Amino acid sequence: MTLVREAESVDGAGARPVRRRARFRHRSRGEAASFYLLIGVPFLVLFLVTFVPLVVALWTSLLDWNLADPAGAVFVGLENFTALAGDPAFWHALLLTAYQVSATVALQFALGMPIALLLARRFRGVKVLRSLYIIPMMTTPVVVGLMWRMLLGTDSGLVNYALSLVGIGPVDWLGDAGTAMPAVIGADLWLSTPFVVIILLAGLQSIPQEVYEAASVDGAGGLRVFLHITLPLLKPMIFLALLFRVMDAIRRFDTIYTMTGGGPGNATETLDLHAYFAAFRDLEIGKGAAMAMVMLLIIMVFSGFLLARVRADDRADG
Amino acid sequence: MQSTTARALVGLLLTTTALTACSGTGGDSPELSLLLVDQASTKELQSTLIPRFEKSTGIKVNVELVPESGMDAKLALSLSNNSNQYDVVMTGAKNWSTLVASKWIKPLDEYVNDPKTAPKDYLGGFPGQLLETIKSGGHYYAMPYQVGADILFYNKKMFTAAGLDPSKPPKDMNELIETARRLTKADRSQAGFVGRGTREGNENSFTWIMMWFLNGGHWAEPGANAKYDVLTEKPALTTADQYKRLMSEYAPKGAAGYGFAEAQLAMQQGKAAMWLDAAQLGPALEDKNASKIAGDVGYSVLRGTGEDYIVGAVWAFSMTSTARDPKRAWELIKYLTGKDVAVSQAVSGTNGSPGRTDALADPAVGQKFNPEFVKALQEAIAHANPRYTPLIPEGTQIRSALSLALSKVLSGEAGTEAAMKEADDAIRKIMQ
Repeated sequence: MTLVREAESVDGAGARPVRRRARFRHRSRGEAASFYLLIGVPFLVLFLVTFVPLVVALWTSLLDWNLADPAGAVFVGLENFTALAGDPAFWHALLLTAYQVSATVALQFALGMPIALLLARRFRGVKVLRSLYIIPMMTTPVVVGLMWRMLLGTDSGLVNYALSLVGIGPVDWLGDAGTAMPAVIGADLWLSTPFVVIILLAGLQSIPQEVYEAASVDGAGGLRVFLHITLPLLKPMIFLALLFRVMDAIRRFDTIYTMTGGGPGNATETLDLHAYFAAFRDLEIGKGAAMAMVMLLIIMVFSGFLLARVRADDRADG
Repeated sequence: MQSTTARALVGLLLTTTALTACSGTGGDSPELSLLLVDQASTKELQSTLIPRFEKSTGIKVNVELVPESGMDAKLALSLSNNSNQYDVVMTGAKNWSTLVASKWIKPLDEYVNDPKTAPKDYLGGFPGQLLETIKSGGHYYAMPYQVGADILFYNKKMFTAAGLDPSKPPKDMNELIETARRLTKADRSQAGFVGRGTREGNENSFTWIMMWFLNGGHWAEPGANAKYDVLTEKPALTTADQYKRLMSEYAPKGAAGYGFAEAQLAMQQGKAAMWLDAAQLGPALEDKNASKIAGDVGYSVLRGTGEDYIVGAVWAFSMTSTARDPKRAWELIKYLTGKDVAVSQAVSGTNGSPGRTDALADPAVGQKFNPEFVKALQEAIAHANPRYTPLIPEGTQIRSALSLALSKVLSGEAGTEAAMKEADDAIRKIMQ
């Protein structure tokens, strides 16, 4: 049945699906067993590790459940969600997350695009440069957080040492409410901009050279070529990078936790840290799960919107 | 062919499942799992003293070290699912109410009250008052390992250089602030004071509570009408102002992010002149391999109002409710809290404040310890109050609200009164 549906969607005609179904029916029992085993096992694993925890988390979000309370969990319906709506700390965390995600992703594209354009060119050493550029991506985020925490240290950090050479500082990057979030965003830029670059670079390399040659013959300048050829042809890759980066930035926990632990005050306590503290410090599992559900909803809405845009663009392009 | 492939796959799956199922079972030798807070003394337990226990008893002990800031979450996560992950866990006084209420640790009375399992020479080494105060609901749930009564550590050379008499350290909070002011250099290359500033693991609230106790502050005693919303009262507000002044004006720049390890390092490197913290952290200042100020350290106890103005932060060992082999788990607890380990760690300098008085009286310890330190420690323990944290299941949440407020105060995100009021409101909400 699945095969038939797939074939219909791919071919848009009725003849081939029927043929495929017929072929499938003629398979031996052994073939069918292999087929179900190969499809069934991964499906079962995915179901167990993705769907079941999701349902459990959803159910947990409907409970008033403090881990330390021997009375156990009590079903309270949507009470955790209504409590969140009236909780200023939750709204603070949500707004902070919006700021962190939008600033991080916007700056990553602002930096990633020129770097990708540079690395798409052919010059001596470009291959080495491309390899070097993905090093941050290969580093564990927790290590990145600790590394930046040391770099930004007030008395022995390299950043403050460099600033002191020009008579500035020391700046308490992670201890001041005004600089802590920009510092966290800076670390994420270092960590994740290469991902944007790689996606955009792949897109740039897939654009046929003839298109640029034709534009050159028509006398189009660099900026016009970029705006009217490169950007439109790169759009699917931009959407792809945007989708992954926004999802990743919303879930950014490790670097923030290791750099600031959500502080100073709650200046870097984004939604996932807030949920973590609720669930595993205050042991309010139901409240933490409700926040996780809100995050999931935000990611799903954003992903759905972006995928709809991609499909609309595909249809417009014929 | 396909049928052979299918059979092979099924076989592979069954083998994998069988191997996975078997991987959790050990051999015949008994095993225990132990969860420790990561600090110098527990590192030494892992590397030197537990192997001795393993050799003498034949019991294998799997040790896991967790940073103090993550310990509360680790305890909650590992004990709440009844997974037998640990048999013995290191617990602080701040954890007991939660652990007991949720039945994650079990009473030790059957072992403590039996002379066969807890002989006189074992139990008699603990101060009687300490054994009474660690009880929860009249039962023993933990055996003391460290008593972190707070001491003021100071750099004598810096005192002399600033024209201060090192034999006359500050006596109370007001003198502490004035002395810190005089010891602080304008460019902060020398800070007059250092303490814990980070909200991670609620560390900043520990320093604040030490000062608050000195100013006469106390949490309400647990009871039917106990109130914990005491942060807008005068002692709390005064302390918050003093804490801010000390940590913002007289501490090293960046001290808002310091935990005990960073504060200790600032003292060891000669960047700070005074440090108020738990006694067990002191001996590391005298370690010539790690400390520039070894031999120049002074020790004193600040005085407060009343009799119990010193924070008596106890670290102890508890048995989990899911312990697979309680008798062997008790043997491990007894060993870790016994005299041999206490003396050995006091001599090595990793545990300067053992929970046993018989260890401090041991001649080997007397020879090793700075007499000034021993004198200060004895004075501090005499005024120690283990109820420095709200001993109720909501205790951690209350400390978190306080820590958040202090962090806001230090970072300039909020004024003292506003931040403390916010924390007080949060506590009231928690208690509702």
